[in-house]
Amino acid sequence: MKKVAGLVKLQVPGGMANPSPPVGPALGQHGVNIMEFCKAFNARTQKDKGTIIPVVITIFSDRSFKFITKTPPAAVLLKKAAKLEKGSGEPNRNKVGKVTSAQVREIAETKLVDLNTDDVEQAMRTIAGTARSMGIDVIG
Amino acid sequence: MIVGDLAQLVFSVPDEVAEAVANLLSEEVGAGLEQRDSETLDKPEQAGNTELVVCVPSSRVEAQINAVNALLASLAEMGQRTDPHSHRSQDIRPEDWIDLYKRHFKAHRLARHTVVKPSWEDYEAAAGELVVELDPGQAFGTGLHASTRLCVSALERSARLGPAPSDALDVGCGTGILAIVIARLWPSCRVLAVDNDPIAVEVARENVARNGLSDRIKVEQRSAADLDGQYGIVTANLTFEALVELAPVLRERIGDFGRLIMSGLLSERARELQQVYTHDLILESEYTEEQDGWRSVTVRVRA
Repeated sequence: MKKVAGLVKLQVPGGMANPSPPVGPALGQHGVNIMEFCKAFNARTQKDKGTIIPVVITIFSDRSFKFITKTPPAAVLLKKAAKLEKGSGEPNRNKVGKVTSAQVREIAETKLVDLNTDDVEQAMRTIAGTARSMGIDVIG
Repeated sequence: MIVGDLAQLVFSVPDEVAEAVANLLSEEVGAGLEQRDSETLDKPEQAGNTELVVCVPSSRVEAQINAVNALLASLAEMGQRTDPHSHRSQDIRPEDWIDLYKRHFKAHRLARHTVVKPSWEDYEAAAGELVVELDPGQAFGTGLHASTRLCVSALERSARLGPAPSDALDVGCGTGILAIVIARLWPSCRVLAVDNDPIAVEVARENVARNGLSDRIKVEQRSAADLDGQYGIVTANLTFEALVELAPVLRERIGDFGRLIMSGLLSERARELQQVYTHDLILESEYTEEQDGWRSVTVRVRA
């Protein structure tokens, strides 16, 4: 067994990783082959090109690495559901859109694998909280 | 790719509001961000907080901080816990992380006869060995990746079987590694290497000069669609999607007895790619090889 040195977490647009920040500095400082990561990440996320993809990179003590990609952040899925480009910069006074609770459920089900819970209701509350903090109202 | 003065900005916020702040930062900084929490190698300075790290042009540091602070104030008014939060920034230069990475880049074998060595390291070549000297800079292609090694292996095979090409084309040349290998394998072959990334073109030109091959390798910033002519060897180490999209162009570049060597695709896509290139029976698939879940495909004009 190779010894694990630790984890690096990044959020990078699918299919578009390159040696610039954040990838270059985050991986370069741990001696990981930056280009190899970019190439593998881009190949694996081509179908989600441009969508922010969270990725967790496990770095081993010999500088080799493996990585897993996760479902897009809830914020990204919420914007998609509400057909928004951006969330609100001031969610308390500037509401920018709405989603239905059916849409929240759908997002919660998509995100269940990454949310550390089997409880859809609990996941829905988390997603609804994220929606409010982006100025998106949950209706119905 | 960001050029000019860069600053690294680190925002430290309570876990509960990290997602909203990360979303704001991702919207404003297209390239994405790094997230540090209790599980990651670099830990947040404040326990219980998440750190979000982005790089922005130095001129935008203040605007970025203001935007995050406005969001946090707004979330606090909505009753969310936003304290403690803080930010810090530092200037950052591409050399900083490239140098760190370079320390780990050593001479290594690409295929049976070809060895790549970084420009800052000494290497004693054995008889019959081809040595490529390379400084990867910020471009793709160090030969550490299976897709590059597969191309070199297919090129060595082509050199064994013949015929020797008089002209070759390397599409998406990155560091120029494949163009240099081609020029080394066939000492009278002229190579045109193209890339649409200006940084790659610059890095490739330096590497070509470093290997003393500027008289035979021409590096140009061009998109593949603008190419013409036919070549005895064409290499395209790209992605599955790019290879499919460029099929009409790349097919036309293969000379009568020439070969097109494609790489950069995961093994499970190889059959689909072969189909795209050979379905009309003008081309045939001649060779394919696998390494670490990646595959190369060589096609030629059907005899």
